[in-house]
Amino acid sequence: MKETSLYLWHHRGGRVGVLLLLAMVFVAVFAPLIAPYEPNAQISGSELQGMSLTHWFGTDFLGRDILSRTIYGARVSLFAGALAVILGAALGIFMGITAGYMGGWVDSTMMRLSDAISAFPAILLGAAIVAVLGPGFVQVAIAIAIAQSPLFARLARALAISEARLEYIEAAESMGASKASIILRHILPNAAGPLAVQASLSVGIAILLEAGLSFLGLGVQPPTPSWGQMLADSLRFIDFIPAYAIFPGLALTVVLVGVNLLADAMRDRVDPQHQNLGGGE
Amino acid sequence: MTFKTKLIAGIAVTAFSLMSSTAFADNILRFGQTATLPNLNPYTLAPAYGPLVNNVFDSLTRYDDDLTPQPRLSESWEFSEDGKTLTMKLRSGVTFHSGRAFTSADVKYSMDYVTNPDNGALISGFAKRIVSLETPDDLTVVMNFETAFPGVFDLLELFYIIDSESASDFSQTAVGTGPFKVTSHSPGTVTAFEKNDGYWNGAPNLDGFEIVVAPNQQAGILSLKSGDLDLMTELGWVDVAPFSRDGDFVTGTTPSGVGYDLSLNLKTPALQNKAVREAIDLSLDRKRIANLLFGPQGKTWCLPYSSNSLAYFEEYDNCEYDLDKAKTVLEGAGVDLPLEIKILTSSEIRTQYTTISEILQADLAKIGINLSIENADAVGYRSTYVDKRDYEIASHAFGRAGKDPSSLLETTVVFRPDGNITSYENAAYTEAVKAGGSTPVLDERRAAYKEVARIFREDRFILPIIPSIFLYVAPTSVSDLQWSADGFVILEDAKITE
Repeated sequence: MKETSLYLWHHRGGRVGVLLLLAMVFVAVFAPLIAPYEPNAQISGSELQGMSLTHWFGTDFLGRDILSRTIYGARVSLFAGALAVILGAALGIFMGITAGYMGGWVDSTMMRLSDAISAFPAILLGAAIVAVLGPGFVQVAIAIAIAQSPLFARLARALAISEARLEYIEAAESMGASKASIILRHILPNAAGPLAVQASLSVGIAILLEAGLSFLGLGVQPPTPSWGQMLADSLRFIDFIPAYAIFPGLALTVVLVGVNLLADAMRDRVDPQHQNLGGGE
Repeated sequence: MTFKTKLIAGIAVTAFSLMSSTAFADNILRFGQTATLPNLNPYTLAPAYGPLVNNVFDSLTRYDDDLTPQPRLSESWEFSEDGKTLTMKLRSGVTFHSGRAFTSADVKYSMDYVTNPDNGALISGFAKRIVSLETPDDLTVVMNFETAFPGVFDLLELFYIIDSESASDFSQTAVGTGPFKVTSHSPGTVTAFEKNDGYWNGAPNLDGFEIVVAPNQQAGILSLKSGDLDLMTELGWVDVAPFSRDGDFVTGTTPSGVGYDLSLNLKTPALQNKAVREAIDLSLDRKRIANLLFGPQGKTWCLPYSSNSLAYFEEYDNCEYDLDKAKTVLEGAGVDLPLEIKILTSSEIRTQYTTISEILQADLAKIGINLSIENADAVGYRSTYVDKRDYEIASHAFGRAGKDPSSLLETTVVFRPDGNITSYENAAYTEAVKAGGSTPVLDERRAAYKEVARIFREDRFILPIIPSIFLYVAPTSVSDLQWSADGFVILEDAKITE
C-alpha cells in the first residue's frame, strides 16, 4: 500500500491526479465553510447576474449563487461516483469471480446476464433503470452501478479463471477449504490490483454518467445542486450568463482529468508493460 | 469528442437539415415545435396540435379578439327564448379535402365521435351538455340543452368538423374542410401540408406549411436564427429577448387560455387546516414568479380570470405576499412546526412547474414548512395527479382560462365541483357554479360568480398564480398571422414576403 502510494506520488500524472482529486474532495467536504452563500438561498431581484465581486460566478435564474452551487455540486458528483462504483464493483466482482471459479452453468448464466447488460449503452440503460426506480440520488447510483457491473464481472472472471489454475488454490482445496473461503481469502486478494485499476477508471465514467442523467432531469432533484443539472438549466441562459455553464462544466472537467490521471498511474503500477512507458520518475 | 461521437452528431445535424430540406422552397411556412404529433386527431387538443387544428379543420364558430363568436361553418344562429335550444344555419358550398360536400350530417357525426368515450376527445365532458342534436335538413343543425348553456361557444370553438369517411384513422392523415390539406405525416419529424385551393373562404396565400419537430428548444431557436424555421411559439421571455432586439425578427404575444395554479389536496391532513392553506397562499410570491417566467409582461392571478371576465371581482383579487403574516397565521392556529409537505411537479411537462415549486419551497422554509419536490416524468405526473390523486400539493396548469367562466369552472379538473381533483366538496360552490353556467341573464351570472370568487378566496383549495403568455418569434418576412382564443396559430391569411 505504501509502495503504491509512493509510486503514485512519484508518477507525474498520478501526482497531478491525486492533487486535483484531493482538492475536489476538500471542496466537497468543507463546502459549508468554503461556499460564500447557502446553495439554495434565492436572492430575489438578483436573478441572472453576471460575474461580480458579490457573486464571483454570477447568479442563476432563481438568484442563487453559482459559485456556491458549483462547490456543493462536488458533493453529489463525487459521492454518486464513489457509491456507484462501490455498488457496481461489488455486484460485478461477485458475478465474475463466482462465474470464473465455479464454471459450468453458473458461469454461463452469470456471463449471459452480464452480456445482456453490456448490450445497452450505459446512459440508455441508466435512464431506463431510473425510469423504473424514479429519479433521485440513490436511484441514479444504483442505475450506474448496474450499468457498470459487467466491466467488473468480465475482469473478475478472467482473473478468477487464471488464479483457479494455480497450485495454491489446489492446495487450499485439498486441505478442505470451502469454495466461499477460497474465493474470499485467496482469489479476491490476488485479483485486487487489476480490479482497483478498473474501479479508478470507472469512477470517471460514473461521474460523467451521473452528470448526464442529471442533465436529463433524472438525477438528484431540485433544489439540490448537481453539475449536470446546472448545465441543463444553463442552456437557455448561456447567451446572458456564460459563467452559468462554464463553471459547472469546468468543475466536471477537473474531476474527470484528475480521476483519469490517477487511473492511468494505477494502471502503470499494475501493468509491467506500461510501467516502462508510463512516465514514472 | 471521439470519432464515434462526432459521427453521431454529424448524422443528427444532417438528419435535422434533411428534415428541413424544403426550408428553402418558396412560400412554405415552417413552424417549429419541440412536441411531437403522434397522430392527427384534432380532439387530442394537446398544445402540440395547435398548428394543426385551425388550419386543417374548421369549427362552426370562432371567437374574435373580443371573444365574440364569429361565423365559420355556421353562417348564423339563434337561441330559443329559454336559452335551451340553439339553431344553426350552415354554410353552403363547403367541401372536405376529399371533395365531398359538407352537410349537417357531418356535424352530427362529429358530435357522436366526440361524445363516444372510446375516442378520448378532450371536450367530451363539455359536449355532453348538448343532450340531443337534430339535423332537420342538410344545412340546419338544432342543439338542445337541459338548461341554458351560455358557454356553448367555448365548446363550438374547439368542436372541429371531421370527415366521416376518414375519421376512423388519424394515424397518418386527417381530412377536414380547412385551408390546408395534409400531404405527409412522419411522427417525431415533420408533418407537411399544402394549400386547399377549394377553400370556402378563398385559397390561402401560402403554398403550404410544415410542422417541424426540433430536437429541443435551443435547436429550434438556432434554426429560427439561421432561417430554417419561420415561426416558433410558447417560448420563454429569455428566449425571445435577443430576437426583440434584432430587426430581422418580429416577436409578440398570443392568447394562451392557460393559467398556472397550485392544487392543494384536501385529503392531506396538514392541508385540511384552512390556516395552513392560507399560509401557503401568503407565501406564494406571484409577482416574482410572473417576472421570472414572463419578464415585464408577466401578470399575476388571484382569481383564475382576467379583469375583463364577467366572473372577475376586484374585491376578491386580494392576494398578498407576506411571510410574516403567514407565520402569524400558522402560530395563531397552533400548527405544529416544522410541517413536512410534498409538492408534485414535472419538468418534462413544463419547466415552469418546477420553477414555481422551487420558489415556493424557499419561501415556505422561512415560515417552518419543509416542502419536498417530487419531480415526476409526464406519465408519472399524470398517474399521480389525475389517476391516483395521490399528491399533497401539485404544481399545475389549467386550460380554458380567459373564455366563458362556465367552461373553466365546469370542465377543468381543478375547478369543477363534481369530482374535483383536490377532493374539495362544498354544496354552495356546486350550486354557484351551476347557477352561473345555466342562465343567459347577465346579472344572475354575475351574482353566481361573485359567490364563486368569495369561496375561492375563503377556502383556497386551488391557488391560481399567473396566466401563461405564449410568446412567439418569426422573421419579419412572415406576416398576417392570426391566433385563436387558445393561442393556436391560424395561417389562413399568413404571407411570406421577400
